[in-house]
Amino acid sequence: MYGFEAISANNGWSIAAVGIIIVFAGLVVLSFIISQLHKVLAFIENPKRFEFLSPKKSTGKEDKYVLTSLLKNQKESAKQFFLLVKTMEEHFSLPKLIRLAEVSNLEKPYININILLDSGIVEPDSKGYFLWNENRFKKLIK
Amino acid sequence: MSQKLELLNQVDIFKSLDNSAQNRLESIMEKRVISAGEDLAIQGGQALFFFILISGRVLLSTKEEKAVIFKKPGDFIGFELLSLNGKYTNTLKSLIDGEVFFLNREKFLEMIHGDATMVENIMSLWGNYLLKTAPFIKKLDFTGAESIY
Amino acid sequence: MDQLFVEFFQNTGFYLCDYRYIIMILIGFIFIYLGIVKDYEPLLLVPIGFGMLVGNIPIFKGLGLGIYETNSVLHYLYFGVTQGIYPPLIFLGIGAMTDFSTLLARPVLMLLGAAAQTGVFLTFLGALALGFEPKEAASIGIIGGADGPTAIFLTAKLAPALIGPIAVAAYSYMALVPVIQPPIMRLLTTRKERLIRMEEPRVVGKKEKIIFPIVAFLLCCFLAPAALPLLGMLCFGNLLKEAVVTERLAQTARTSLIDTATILLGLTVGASTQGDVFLTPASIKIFVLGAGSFAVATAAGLIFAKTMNLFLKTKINPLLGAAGVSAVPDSARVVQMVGQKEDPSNFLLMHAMAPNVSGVIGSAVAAGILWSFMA
Repeated sequence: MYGFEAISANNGWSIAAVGIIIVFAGLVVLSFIISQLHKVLAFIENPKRFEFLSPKKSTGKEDKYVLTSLLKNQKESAKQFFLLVKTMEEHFSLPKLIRLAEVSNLEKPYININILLDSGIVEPDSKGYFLWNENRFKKLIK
Repeated sequence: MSQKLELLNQVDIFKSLDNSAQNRLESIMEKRVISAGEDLAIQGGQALFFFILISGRVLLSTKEEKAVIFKKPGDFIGFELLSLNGKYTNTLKSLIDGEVFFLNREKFLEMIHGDATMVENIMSLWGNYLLKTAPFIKKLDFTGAESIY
Repeated sequence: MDQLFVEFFQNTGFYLCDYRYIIMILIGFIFIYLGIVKDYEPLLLVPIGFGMLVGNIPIFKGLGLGIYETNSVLHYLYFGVTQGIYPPLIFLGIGAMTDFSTLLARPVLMLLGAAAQTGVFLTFLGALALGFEPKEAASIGIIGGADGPTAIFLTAKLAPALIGPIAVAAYSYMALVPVIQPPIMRLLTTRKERLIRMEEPRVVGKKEKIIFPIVAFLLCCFLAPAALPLLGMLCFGNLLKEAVVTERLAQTARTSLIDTATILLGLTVGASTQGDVFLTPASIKIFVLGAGSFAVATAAGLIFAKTMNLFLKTKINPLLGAAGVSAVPDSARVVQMVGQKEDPSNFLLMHAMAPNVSGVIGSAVAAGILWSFMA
């Protein structure tokens, strides 16, 4: 016996259909379970971190900065760096700024550049250069 | 789990390696404390190490005076970011005190070249990582030649 | 004395040889060539190819040399194939070397592994239509699972007489994945689709990796208990790997054990292709159906991936569908290769490993289902 006749006689259509359905069902269920696995583990390990039960409310734009205020000496340093940046292009080179700071004998240039980065006064432009965020600067040195 | 393995699981390009590959990698990692202003790699110098940041903040600067900041624990600074043909092409400086894992460049390249799956895994993720962290640095065509980096 | 020489000559391979042995020896050469020179699945093709040479030395029946003679050494070694012993051992090793992270990071890709199993069932229908018995048809269909050990295991259980041609077809097509799949992949996808970049997968924790083989084993084996020997060993091997504390056992499973089983399986399967029993019209039909099965499985994975894109917010690269046919890791490498031809900076390998390993699970489940239907 050959062709469709052979398939029908051996119950081939049903076997193929049921087979495909079972393989799919099995893997769909498995994929669902493993997609939830990390959430369940996160919940067991630390229920507080279980985000979708108690979503963290954002406290605003400030969240993205590590530093939200500057100390007096940090403000002074920021002002000095601002003077240097004024002599540079809008999209300035950070290594060049550090070099200028060193030449100008500014105190601890590396640490102070880091403070400018943490506070959001200096921001990368994603093309390898950096921008001076004037609004942020004015707000923090007030 | 050791601190090294824990950190390796945070490194974008190494986290998907299997245990034995991670263990081999772990064996060539050496933790060092770095201080603000310290040079980790100087452009033109012999490329001895690649780096994985544990803490702190490091600045990579190119000869065109472009720069990128690495601050996330697990940031990997190596391959095109740092070297070509055994010489450092860029400079890496620490901005603040921190800790870094030093990876012996030669041993590292030797290790990944000895394992076809490992090199495929790493290089397939490296392209994305480079694009994400330093899009202005051109990805080199990976030819499999050990000396390329 | 002349008589002695004549009798000796009549027992030599030169006297007993006919064209069928020569053809099979030539095929053996091709396998060895493909394995060594072209680097197509050398760990499989070289033992099978040499086994073909071993099995096709024309021998005087009764000396206990041939694989089909009950008192021969080869026959004892072949016992591991006919009784389905080697495939689960190989699965143990595969489990101990497989990293399921990419699958755990993006479980939806598991569906591509399921879709590719459509090829198995469609080929089953094709084999029935060509006049094969249901048990034989089921064994032929599983070639589309692109998983040699699974194909051998199921055939040993359902149609032991077909082990030789089915094993050779399955392994040949697995080795030829880089040749068979790319044209189908290009035909069924547009350039724009091939350029789609995949999102970076999330980090998968150690605990997830440990729990996965246990959950997968329990679920799949409760659903299709006949998949137990293969999936049980696959998941057990993976648990040994992920548990870390059992690293020594995992190391043995993924090196010495799998290598031993592969050598014995490859050699005896090759030796089972004796020209006089192998070269039959049925074998030719099996080869044709096997190729069809592979092509359909690849196409099913691709089409399903395209269909998924109609519903997904973040599109997936439909090339990943082709990796659903199992054949770990070759079909994932083919996905990477085809994707990089369009965009050299697009790295799909890690993503393709997800449907690839789910294809292994899918084909073992499909084999279990077919076995339970036919038993």
